Amino acid sequence: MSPIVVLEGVGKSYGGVPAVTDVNLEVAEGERLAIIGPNGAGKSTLFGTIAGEHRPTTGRVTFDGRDVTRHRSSSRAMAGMSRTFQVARLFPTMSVRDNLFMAALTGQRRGIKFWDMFSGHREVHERVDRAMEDSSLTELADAQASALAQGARKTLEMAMAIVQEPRILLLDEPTAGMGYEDARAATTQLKRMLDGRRDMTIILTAHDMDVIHSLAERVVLMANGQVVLEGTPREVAEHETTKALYLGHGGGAA
Amino acid sequence: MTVLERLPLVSRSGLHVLIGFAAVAMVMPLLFSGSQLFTWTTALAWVLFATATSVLFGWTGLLSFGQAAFFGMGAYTMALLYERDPEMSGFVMLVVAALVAGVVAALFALFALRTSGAEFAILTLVLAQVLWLLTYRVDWLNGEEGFHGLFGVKILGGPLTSDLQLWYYTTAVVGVCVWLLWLLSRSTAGQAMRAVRDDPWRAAALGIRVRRVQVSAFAVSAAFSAVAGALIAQGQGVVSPGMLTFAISGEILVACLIGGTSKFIGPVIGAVVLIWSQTLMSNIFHESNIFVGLLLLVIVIALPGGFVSLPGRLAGRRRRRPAKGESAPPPSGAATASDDLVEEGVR
Ligand SMILES: Nc1ncnc2c1ncn2[C@@H]1O[C@H](COP(=O)(O)OP(=O)(O)OP(=O)(O)O)[C@@H](O)[C@H]1O
Ligand SMILES: [Mg+2]
Repeated sequence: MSPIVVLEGVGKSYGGVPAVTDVNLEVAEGERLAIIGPNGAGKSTLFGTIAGEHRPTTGRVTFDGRDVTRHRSSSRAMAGMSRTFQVARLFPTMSVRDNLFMAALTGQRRGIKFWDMFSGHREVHERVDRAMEDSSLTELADAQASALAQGARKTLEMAMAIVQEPRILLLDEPTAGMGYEDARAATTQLKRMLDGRRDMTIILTAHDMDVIHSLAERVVLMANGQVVLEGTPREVAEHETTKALYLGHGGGAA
Repeated sequence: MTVLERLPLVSRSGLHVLIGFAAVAMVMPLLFSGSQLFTWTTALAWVLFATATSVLFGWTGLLSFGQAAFFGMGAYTMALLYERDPEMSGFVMLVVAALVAGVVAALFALFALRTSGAEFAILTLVLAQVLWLLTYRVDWLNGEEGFHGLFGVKILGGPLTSDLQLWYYTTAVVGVCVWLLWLLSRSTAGQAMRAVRDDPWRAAALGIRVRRVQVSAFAVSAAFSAVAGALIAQGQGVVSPGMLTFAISGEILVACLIGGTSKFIGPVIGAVVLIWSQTLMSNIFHESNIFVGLLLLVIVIALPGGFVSLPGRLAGRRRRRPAKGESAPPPSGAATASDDLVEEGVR
């Protein structure tokens, strides 16, 4: 299958200190890829260069055959890229429903207009209702996002990304900051939300091997800003390098 | 008003806003006359000014210390138009004033929004100060003298000849403008402004063009501030550099703060409280500004979130333990955008 995202020699430094160096990566359409690596390996930074929050210091990012290296994140979003952040970003003063509405509306590539009433858009509101059911957020529909617990914040952010029906979904640590049981529940929830969306390309980062085994087909291991290993989840998990890297990191990826 | 709001047709079209203004327009002259009615007229123009300022400060989360620039620009535009052609309709003058301020604001914002937070606030202050200086340096702006005789502006064929006529005219214009702003607050663009205020990164990641939303908010805010300034100029009959001073920019932010920006009606309440406390105090005390300042300070400190947060607070106290989220103070509008966004050109 043709690649949907291509990274060529991508690097990013913060004030001269490299966080990501010379990453080359191809992601096929419909593929489900996990990026793992110890803390500070550069996973989130790499996400930022793909989604457009950071402009890479070196290299090129291609999305769907187009060079998007210099495109803003809003342009990339409109071209079909949706993401979540490691620490969930929501609209805190809006309700769960309005957060999802904003996502669903922009996902439809509907322009934002002065004369376009929020209360219209029946089909968008219906999509929002369905998204709340799929993500078990219906009961919290009118709760303000700032009042949500950690798990619900993560779930809402994922629901927002998914309701946009992106061509590619970027999930930065979908279970970060959760306890073991919450993480299991969230993984099951995420799998359900992705049901019947086999054509959606997914890149996710995770420390949690459970998430990786249940969602990813291919794994890329990063360390010190570079890709050091690639393979199936099993291959990578059992590799010497992985074990060595994760020793002393509290066994985060057991 | 709240009962009316529940009816879908009413709430969608904002009819309750228009009905509210019509009611106020009819009732006030029964209760007040002369200088008191004139104070209400002034207060209403400030209601528009405060609501327009809230589009930027409250809804979009951008702090401007230079709102007086657009308030004054509206007044001067009207004065200059009147000087050129005294026969021109006052309504046309208002529209031109709004367009001039809106276009200037959009051009200014395209440049100024490359900075963020405090720098942006300072740039807006500089803009207002530069305009203020220009009124002294540019011959045809008449310096301290300013312009006189704006009572003569023609509305529906003739000048306004009484406090009552001025009252009806001002309520009508303010009512329509506030109604338009209410519709804006309920539009997808209004929602996008809130999104940008809450989290510009999240907004951009969803595909909202953050800078474009901010520039539009700035232009809309300026255009309606200009209409308010022109209305004040018409009511007082004069235009002077005093309308461009920092005192004005500061007062309108105070009006937004004491009313609270978390609800549409907040700045409306704030403007009325501000104008009436100024008027009443100046009748009692000699150095009234100090007392007004102290009063407003007390309100802002005692009531973070402004008057509109009062019902929530009282309800919370009755229940003893306020529900989560309700107790959270509404975010102060200012300086939410991260500096990183500028660097990355997202903002
Ligand atoms: N905004 C920033 N400014 C400066 N340095 C940064 C910034 N963001 C990240 N870094 C640095 O870049 C490196 C890579 O960080 P990054 O967050 O990408 O790692 P990560 O693999 O996502 O780690 P984690 O597993 O903890 O999420 C780290 O050394 C980090 O300190
Ligand atoms: Mg990370």
